[in-house]
Order: sequence, then C-alpha cells, then structure tokens
Amino acid sequence: MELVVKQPSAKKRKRSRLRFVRTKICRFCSDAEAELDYKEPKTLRIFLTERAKIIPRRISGNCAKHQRKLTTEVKRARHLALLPFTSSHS
Amino acid sequence: MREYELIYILHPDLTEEREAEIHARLDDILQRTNGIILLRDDWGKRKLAYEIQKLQKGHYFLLNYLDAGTANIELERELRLNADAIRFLTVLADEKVKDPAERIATAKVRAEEQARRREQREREAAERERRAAEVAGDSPRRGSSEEEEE
Repeated sequence: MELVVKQPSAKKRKRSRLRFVRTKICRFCSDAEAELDYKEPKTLRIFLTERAKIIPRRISGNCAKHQRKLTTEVKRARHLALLPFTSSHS
Repeated sequence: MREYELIYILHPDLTEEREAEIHARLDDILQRTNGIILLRDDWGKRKLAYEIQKLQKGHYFLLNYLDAGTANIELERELRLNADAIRFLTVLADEKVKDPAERIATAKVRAEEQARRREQREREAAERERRAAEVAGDSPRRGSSEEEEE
C-alpha cells in the first residue's frame, strides 16, 4: 500500500482508501473452535459468492493456511453435492 | 493404523433390505482386511446441491473406520461397481492412530450422540408430516365448499 509511484490527487486517494473494506483477522486463527469441514456445508457457504465461487483471501481475510484448507474442503463438499459448483442454470 | 472417513451416497429409492445388503458388503471387506469400524452414520435423505444421474435427492452415509490402508481400494471398487451408489469420497482423517482403543471409545460416544440427533430429526420429520397432513386436510375441504357454491 505504501508503494505509490504516481501521487494521485487527494480526492482519488481518499476514494480508493474507502473502497478497501476487509476483515484483517483470520477468523479460524482467532477462534480455536471454528473449524472448516466438508461435512458442514453451512460454515463453508459463508465463504462462497452467490454464484458459488470461493471468496478470495484478500476479501475474506483468511490466512494462507486456512484459505488452503477452505479450498480443499469446499472442493470435497462439491464432489458430494453438499455444495453447488455454480448457481443453477436457467 | 489409519483412520478413514468414507462418505457414500446411495440411490434415494432403495428398499431398506437393499441398503442393508450394501452396508454388509462393505463391512465384509473391512473384516477381510482386519479393519475396525468406528462408526456408521445415516445422514438421511438429503437434497443434492446439483442433479446427479437426474436425481434430486440422495441417501448419505458416513463410515468411519480404522485400517492399515488396504481396504479403501476394495471399498471404492465395490462402490464404483455398484449402480445404486451414486457418489463416494474417502478422506484420510488421521494418518497415525497410536491408540486404537481410545478411538473406539470416542467413537462410541459419538455414536450415542448421533443416535440422539437422529431421534430428534425423526421427531421433527413426524411433526412436519403431521402439519403437512393438517394443511392437506384443510385444503380439499375448502375446494369442495367452493364447488358447492357454484
């Protein structure tokens, strides 16, 4: 964030800063009880978009370790039809 | 010993005998490889997130077992050849189980928990059915009264 080559105008900078809304703490690191499991699609659903895509780390705030875990668990759940690959086609 | 989780989805319209037969065949394989069944859980008939073989629902089963690592190939082959099994997934839950006896004990506790949950689910299902029956009982009456008015 510090690496700004061109100095944007004050107005622009303000806007870009406002757009960044993110959770910075990985919720699975801070909460020992919260766990990712393919058998619990309910908790996995929180990290999917409406089109059932996995929400990226930069938005969800997960750490690398837990994001990796999330990906494998979501993929397992998809295979077992506990989670959709995509929203239904019409 | 390793701990495995095997989830398999069976066709939703099977008779109970047919389901029991499939379970027995899996148990047989485990017995042959000296595997230990920790727990078998019936998740009930669930809606599939997407259609598989034109099916909307599937009967989910979870089989938790300890084995040296030879059973999963056999189990998966059995499920692959069985047309009534629509999906399955084996997950290695624990690579090194030091104390099998302890696992068996915890599995027992979990089995009891699951039995309780299943009971509750059945109660809820019965409740829903009763409510649905009430609604169904109401609507035809309304329908017939309308006809009388005409």
